[in-house]
Amino acid sequence: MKLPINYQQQKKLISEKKTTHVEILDGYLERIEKYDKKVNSFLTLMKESSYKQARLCDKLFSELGEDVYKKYPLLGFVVSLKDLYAAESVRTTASSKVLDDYTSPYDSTAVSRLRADGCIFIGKTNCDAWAHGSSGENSDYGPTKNPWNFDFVPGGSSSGSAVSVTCDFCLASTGTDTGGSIRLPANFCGVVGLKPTWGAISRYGVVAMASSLDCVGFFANSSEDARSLFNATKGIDGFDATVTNVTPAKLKNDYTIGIAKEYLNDGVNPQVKNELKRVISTLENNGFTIKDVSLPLTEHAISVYYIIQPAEVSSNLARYDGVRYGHDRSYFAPEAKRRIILGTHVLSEGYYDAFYIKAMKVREKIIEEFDRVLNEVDAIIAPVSPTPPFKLGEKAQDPLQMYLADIYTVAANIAGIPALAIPSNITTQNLPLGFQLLGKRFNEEVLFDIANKFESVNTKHPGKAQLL
Amino acid sequence: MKKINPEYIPIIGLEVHIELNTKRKMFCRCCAEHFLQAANSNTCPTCLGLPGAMPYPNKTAIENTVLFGLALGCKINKYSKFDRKHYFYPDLPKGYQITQYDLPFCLNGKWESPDGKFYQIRRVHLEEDTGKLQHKNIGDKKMSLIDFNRSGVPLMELVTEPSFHNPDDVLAFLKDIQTLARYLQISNADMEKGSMRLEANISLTKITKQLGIDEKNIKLPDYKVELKNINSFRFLKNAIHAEIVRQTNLLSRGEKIKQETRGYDEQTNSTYSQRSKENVKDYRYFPEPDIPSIVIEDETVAIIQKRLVESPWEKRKRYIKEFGLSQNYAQILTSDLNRGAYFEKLYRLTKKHHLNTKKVVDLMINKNYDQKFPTPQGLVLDLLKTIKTQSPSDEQLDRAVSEVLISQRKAVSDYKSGKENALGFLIGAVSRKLSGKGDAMTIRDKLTESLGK
Amino acid sequence: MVNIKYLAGLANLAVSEQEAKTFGKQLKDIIALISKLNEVDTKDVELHRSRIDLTSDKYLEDVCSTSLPTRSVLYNAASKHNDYFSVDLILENKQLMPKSPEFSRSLNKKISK
Repeated sequence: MKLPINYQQQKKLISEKKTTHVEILDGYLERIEKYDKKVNSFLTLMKESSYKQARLCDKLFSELGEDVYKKYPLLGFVVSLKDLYAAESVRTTASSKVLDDYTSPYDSTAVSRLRADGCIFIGKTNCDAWAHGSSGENSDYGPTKNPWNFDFVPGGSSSGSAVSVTCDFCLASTGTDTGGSIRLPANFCGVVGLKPTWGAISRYGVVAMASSLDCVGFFANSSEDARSLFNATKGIDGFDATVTNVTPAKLKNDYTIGIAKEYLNDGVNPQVKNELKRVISTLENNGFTIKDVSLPLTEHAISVYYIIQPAEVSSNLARYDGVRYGHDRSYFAPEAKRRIILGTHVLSEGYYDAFYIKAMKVREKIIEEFDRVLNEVDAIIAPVSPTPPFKLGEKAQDPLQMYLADIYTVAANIAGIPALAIPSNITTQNLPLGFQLLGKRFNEEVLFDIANKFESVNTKHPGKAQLL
Repeated sequence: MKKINPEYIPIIGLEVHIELNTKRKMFCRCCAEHFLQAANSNTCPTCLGLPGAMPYPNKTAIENTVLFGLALGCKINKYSKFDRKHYFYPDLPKGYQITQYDLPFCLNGKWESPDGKFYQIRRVHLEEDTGKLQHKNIGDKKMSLIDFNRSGVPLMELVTEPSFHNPDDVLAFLKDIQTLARYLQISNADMEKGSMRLEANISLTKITKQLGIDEKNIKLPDYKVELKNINSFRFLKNAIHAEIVRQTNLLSRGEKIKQETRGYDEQTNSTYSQRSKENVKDYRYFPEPDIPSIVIEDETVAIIQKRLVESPWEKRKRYIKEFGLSQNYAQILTSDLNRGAYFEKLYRLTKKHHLNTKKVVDLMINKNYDQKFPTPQGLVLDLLKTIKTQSPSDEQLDRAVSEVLISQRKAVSDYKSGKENALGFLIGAVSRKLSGKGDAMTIRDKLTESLGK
Repeated sequence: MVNIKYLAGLANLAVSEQEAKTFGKQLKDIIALISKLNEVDTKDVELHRSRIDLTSDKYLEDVCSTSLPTRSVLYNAASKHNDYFSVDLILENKQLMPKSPEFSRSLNKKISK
């Protein structure tokens, strides 16, 4: 059974009658059945409803032929959902026992838009509980494992989503990125991960972690697929007041890419650093202009993040009291409790100005700094993580070390700018390597365009994990 | 009521909550009507605080709050924002209330009391209401039941400066605030339905008698007692009075007054402790990240300003000045927008038809003639008809008056020696002579005219 | 020094002595990290720049639409009575105190059996 490598290829296979939507779904579910116990990427499978959707896709295609894509531009696109996404009548746990038996009575905007465009939802994926984590180890339903090597973490918090894509359990997945939760697992699993501009896609119906940082985004095998999902979900929905409609910027033939010295300091693992240098020279050799830029406030981004994020976490988790749904607050695991307590501290009387207000002000300065630099360049290139994937348990006992894994990802969330994680190579230990591109607000199209061009010239793409 | 010790003066600040009568709730699409609805029938992910749900602000509610602020002479903040106020209670679904902390829509307004004193309004802001709890025995278990229909209904909060010093002004203020909300048609401000809710902060401060009550000389005490959950104007007035007496007694005994929240028991006409403020609450306010800050440009304020109507207190002043009404009548007529409008039309008509204006207004207020006649025109037509058939001719009246003045010499001399009530007796006598024709006012005028000669 | 028990109380969380100790230590490290922000000069920074104009078309009309069916509103409730959510009697103005984790878990086991 041949599974598509991207949606373009799937459409071709369907069109040439080489496969059907039901057969593709069979193929994914077979692989999940066979391999998911090794990686623990799914919490809930939506078998029945996905087969119903697949049969409908086959029926629509046989009736309408290619015209069907005019009405359903993503017909039969099989997507997994991070278990933070509310989907009507489906269990939605945020990987926390607090919501162990919670069934959402409504669809999130992202889900309803993808549904309307013809996507098939195969199941809900594992993640760090409440999206708190960088490794995928904080799930109340057990850690997700890296399919490239089961001893390693897949990155978090959207661990199961990244794993489900690299394992060919589905064609793409939805994730959320508050401080790197899409880009880090994309990087550790070797898939494309998009964190859009804050305010590009509605967050309505996605369990909130830290509202001013949270972004709805995607995992895919190619930047083109990520682009399709982005365009299907973006724009004002009347439920998230922070969403804006922005006409995308014009694409160019030659782009200038900035490299900040702050992103290549001694804290970066040599393999990560060397790969970044290789990517830069590949880009340079293919017509991109590389320019040195400076982002001196970057070092403070992590401090800003660990004030604003827990503050908003402590507020967003206040609704879980076990009265209307779920279990009471004693079901929170230590990581959530730790963040709630830290957040409560930075918002409490006497500390609010010193921590929260200060962080908000530094945040404004970081935004200005990015705005200034992104006026000179079309995108900034940066590592995603300071290290390649680390081992399970390696950082689990030391929250501070774990938090520092976000050091290169949080800045994009603080500035609200889009970022795209792109896989580019493998380490000597056969684990994925990659990089990220940061762009101007609402300039996702520029990032896709650069990534597309890079994908077409990169000779060392890591490919897929071999599940044995 | 016990006398209040004149050495202390009460310092009273008010917080008034008014539910706006918008069609949808403050942050979601649910119907805002929650009175007599099936429990939890007007709820959705947002007002239930379900995982993932988000607020989407109601523009009409914001505009109506701005309108209310403008009517109170407030400054409208160009930049406002919503904030989260955190506390845990089962009727508060999100664990925080969306309200406004340091940038409310309206700031620094004022209100003029009937005797011309100005009171300062600190702010008017907008927030969301909570669900409703009721306590019940179910089987052998004591339970609290929660209905979230009211959750997320727009709630406007007005806060005054602590500048009131007597319960009468407090009452006059609150009545005007209620009337204003009704004039502007932004709320029925119905106390019984809970769409208007009152809280008062009360403390006492010592004054130097020679200096008198002058805001400059008043030192704010270091405590305040909050009176809460009082559901009528009368009870609030009584509660404030009872609280002033209680605090005066404590202070005269040299005791300290505890900062706390108190309720009012109408049976015993006394206040009782509800919650001690010893563990001060830390609400952990911070800007609501799900709602961008709101910009209200001057042009927008100007558009909203067009919807302003004359405030009840301005109208009251005008009625007294323009129509010569008593304070009491002006108060009655301005307490209802329609009644005021009826009155103004009626007034013009009585002038046109040379009717006795004062008499007509008496009929309207004391005999509810405005309810008998849906239009002022109808009322005036009826009066004109009655006067024609009922009134004695001038000749008849003259004759009756002179006959009475002759036959009732005793009463006449009583009146002339200053016994005012003798006049009533004479009016009655003339009326009997006319077998009930003619009205007291006309007879009175004629009598005094003749007696004055 | 951060008072973990006090903060947990504000956040309506029950923490054990052991947890309080561990969190206290971990928070100390994190607070040291976030305190580094004092190095940044933020004298002239203006806040709340994400703004919408009241006249923008982002607002919805003041029209209400259908709510969730009551059945699905109450579907996930731990305890309900008629169409109401229900909780053990709340005494006026008392903050809901969390039950100890052990108590809740044992209760939950009983329910699931």
